[in-house]
Amino acid sequence: MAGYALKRLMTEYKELTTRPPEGIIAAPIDEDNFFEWECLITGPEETCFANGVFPARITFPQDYPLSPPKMRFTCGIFHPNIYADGRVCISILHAPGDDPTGYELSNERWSPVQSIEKILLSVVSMLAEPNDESPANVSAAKMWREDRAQFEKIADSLVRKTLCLPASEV
Amino acid sequence: MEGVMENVGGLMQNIRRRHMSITEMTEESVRLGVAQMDTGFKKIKEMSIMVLETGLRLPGLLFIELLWRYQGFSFEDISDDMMKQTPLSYFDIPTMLDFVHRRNFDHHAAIILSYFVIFISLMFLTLPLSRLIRMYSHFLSVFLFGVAYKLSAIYVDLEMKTGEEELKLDGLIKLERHGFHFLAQMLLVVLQSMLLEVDGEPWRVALPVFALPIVARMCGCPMDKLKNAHNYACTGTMIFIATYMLYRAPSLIKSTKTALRQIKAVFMVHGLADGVAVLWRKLRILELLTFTWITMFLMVLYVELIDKGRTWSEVGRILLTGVAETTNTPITLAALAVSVSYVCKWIADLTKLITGGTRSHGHVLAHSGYTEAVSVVILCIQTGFLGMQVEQKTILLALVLYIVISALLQSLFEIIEVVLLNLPSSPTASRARHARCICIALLLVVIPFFTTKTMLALLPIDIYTAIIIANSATVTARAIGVILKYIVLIVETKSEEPWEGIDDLTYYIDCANKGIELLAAKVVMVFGCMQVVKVGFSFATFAILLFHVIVNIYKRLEHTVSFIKNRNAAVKNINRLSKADVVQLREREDVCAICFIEMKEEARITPCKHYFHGPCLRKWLAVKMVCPLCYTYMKEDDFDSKSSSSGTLNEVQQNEEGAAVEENPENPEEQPEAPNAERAPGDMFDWDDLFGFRAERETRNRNEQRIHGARDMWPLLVDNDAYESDSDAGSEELVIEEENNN
Repeated sequence: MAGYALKRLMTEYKELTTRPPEGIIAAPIDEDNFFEWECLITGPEETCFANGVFPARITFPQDYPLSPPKMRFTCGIFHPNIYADGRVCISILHAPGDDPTGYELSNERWSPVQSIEKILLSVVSMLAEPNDESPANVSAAKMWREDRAQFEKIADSLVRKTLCLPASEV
Repeated sequence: MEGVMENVGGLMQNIRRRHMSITEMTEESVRLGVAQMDTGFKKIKEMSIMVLETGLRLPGLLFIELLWRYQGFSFEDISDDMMKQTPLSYFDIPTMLDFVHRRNFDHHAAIILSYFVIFISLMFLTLPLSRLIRMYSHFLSVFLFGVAYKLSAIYVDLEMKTGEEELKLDGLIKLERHGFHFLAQMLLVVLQSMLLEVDGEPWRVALPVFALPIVARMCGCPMDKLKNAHNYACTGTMIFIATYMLYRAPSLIKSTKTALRQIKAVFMVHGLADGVAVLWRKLRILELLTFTWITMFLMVLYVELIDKGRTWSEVGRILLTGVAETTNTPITLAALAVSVSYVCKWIADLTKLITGGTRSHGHVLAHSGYTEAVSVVILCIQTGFLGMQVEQKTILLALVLYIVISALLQSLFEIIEVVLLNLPSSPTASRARHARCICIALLLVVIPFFTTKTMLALLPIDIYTAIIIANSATVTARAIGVILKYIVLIVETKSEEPWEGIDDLTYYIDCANKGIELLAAKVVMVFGCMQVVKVGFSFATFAILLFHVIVNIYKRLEHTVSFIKNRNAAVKNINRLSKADVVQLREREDVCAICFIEMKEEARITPCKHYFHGPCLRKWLAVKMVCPLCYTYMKEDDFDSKSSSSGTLNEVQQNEEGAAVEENPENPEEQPEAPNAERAPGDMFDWDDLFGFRAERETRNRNEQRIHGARDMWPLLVDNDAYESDSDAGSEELVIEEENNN
């Protein structure tokens, strides 16, 4: 039933085009393939990721919205909840079903009433407030807890890298 | 925030503009063009090398084939009448036989000649391309030596006929014969020098030995001594060849050692199985077998059509006779299998090219034609195909080829099914592509009928033909089902609101398909039982029937029953919820939170008072029995209490009970005992291996069918490998927007 998912993706694309949320740009890669989207996420204000623009890619399954999509950043980003290869680990993208480890409540996992806009807003919120209790990047989580200045320094260098600016002289 | 966004946007545009300057674009374009040209040249070169290498290696297999075919004969038994019966009759066989008979070969010479031919054939098959070309040049130089010998003999005969005792060069006209012969000898010497790559002055001086009679005659040699000069030249040639071979022998031994060392390295690096695969690919055995079989088959067709004067109306029987006559040895059997494999692979690739479908996720062997090839080999081996007469081989080969066609049709169906079910959801697919896919699906409906008709005309009705007919009927039914599903999906894509009847239609199509499959299987079983009663009991037929009952009837029945049960459970879940009225929907002016489309005609109300489309909610409840919005559990007792409490709100309740009628499986008839009469061993046709392959295919089909049938109920099919070990803690406060509740 790929047509069912396609209609919903088209509706969401129309909605994102007419009422784009602040700091987020998302669209399909090309008109032939609505199941692969590309998006730009702006780092939230007053955080170490501020002024950064991070490209990411979202891949939708054929039975969307019954199953969640997969999201990964295509630039190098250093964050406790993002794997080294860019995959995003966030509760809204986890498949519905009770978490056996007990960290997540079931109503925070994927549901068909979620949308691309909510996914991206959750990712922006994750950038602002990392969750270091069950990290995807252990070294980033440890650094964020124990050496915040170093973490912010690395984040700032990554922001400059995404903007193609020279490295900071600090 | 907006100011920062504008600055960032402008900055990024400047950065992009600086990065994509005209110069860099130009350089990149030139680089890409050069790379594409290089790639094209490389591909053309590889293709040319492959064709050249295969063509050069072809005589090796042909020689081995001829040796195997005539290994039982001796030279005295070979006669003109027998040779004219063979496919090689348009060669100059009588002249060769006359030559052989007049030479009076004895037994030992024949053995030596056979070993020499085998050695040459193995060299053809195993040498690298450069050395293969050099070997051909050596053969050509030997041929040139023969030409030189012939010219020298002609010269001596001509001089003998003139009768002049003393050669007097008193006019230019008398130099004509001598000069031309000398010039011809020099030309041959130059060609040989280039071919043999002679690198030494003594070798070059020794080459023009057949010019000796001419020089001797021109120096005043008497007539009776001229033959001695010719004999000296022949002796010199033989000495030269022997010396050349002895001179080259150390190089040959060294090359052999190097080759063995390389082979050992290949096995050490890749292991045994992969090493065999590497050698197989490097020696181009597949291409060799295919070209060998095609060459012999074309020769047989030429003999049948041109020499025997048959017409084109007997093409089918001519083709079968040709295939039967060319398949006499294990080499040609392997060649036939490989050819069948390549033909099936080309047909499958052509179908993919026409439909524009991507490569499916099935096993790689399933789409390369290897299944058909292995089926051909195993069936021919088990029936003793190689030892049969031509008529028996023709009939059995027709049966084998129809089995191959049946397997090929199923492969094509697997290709077209994936493409047709995904095509309605791609927005920019052209109408031509839709038309092509529909045409191929219609061909899959028509071709099984044509195959069945021609098969019944050629072969008697048997348990084997019955199974082939059942498989053809199955392919036809599945193709019709895929076309109907395609139409339903097209209608769904073009409709505005999700259509509740669409799942019902898909479900009924699947049920009809499964019913037809079960019906065909039962007909085959009944026919087999009747044949056991009539003809008599045989272990082969009993084994076939038992395997058929287990694989085709019992497992399909089990799968169908589970499919129906899942469907009824889903229908029952959605029918417990009450339907919303059209007036209610107009008052709310709401959209379904699952598909984001307005609810105008139809909606279902959950116990927690949330509205969704019926089809959308049914799909989600198959994944998880909770409300998508508020995650309230919806259990069976909650339905009853909520629906009774909602009755007090004066809402219209329409509780439709789903049709939970389950089909009772019929018990298969017990097979009656028949008198124990065994058939001839040649008619024993063991289908276990064929059913092994077919069962494997049906296992994959069943898995795909289960996935596809289960997708109608939208179960959870996400691979959890990415999120296996790491799970995010629940510290994030994600407030679900309740706009839909307003």
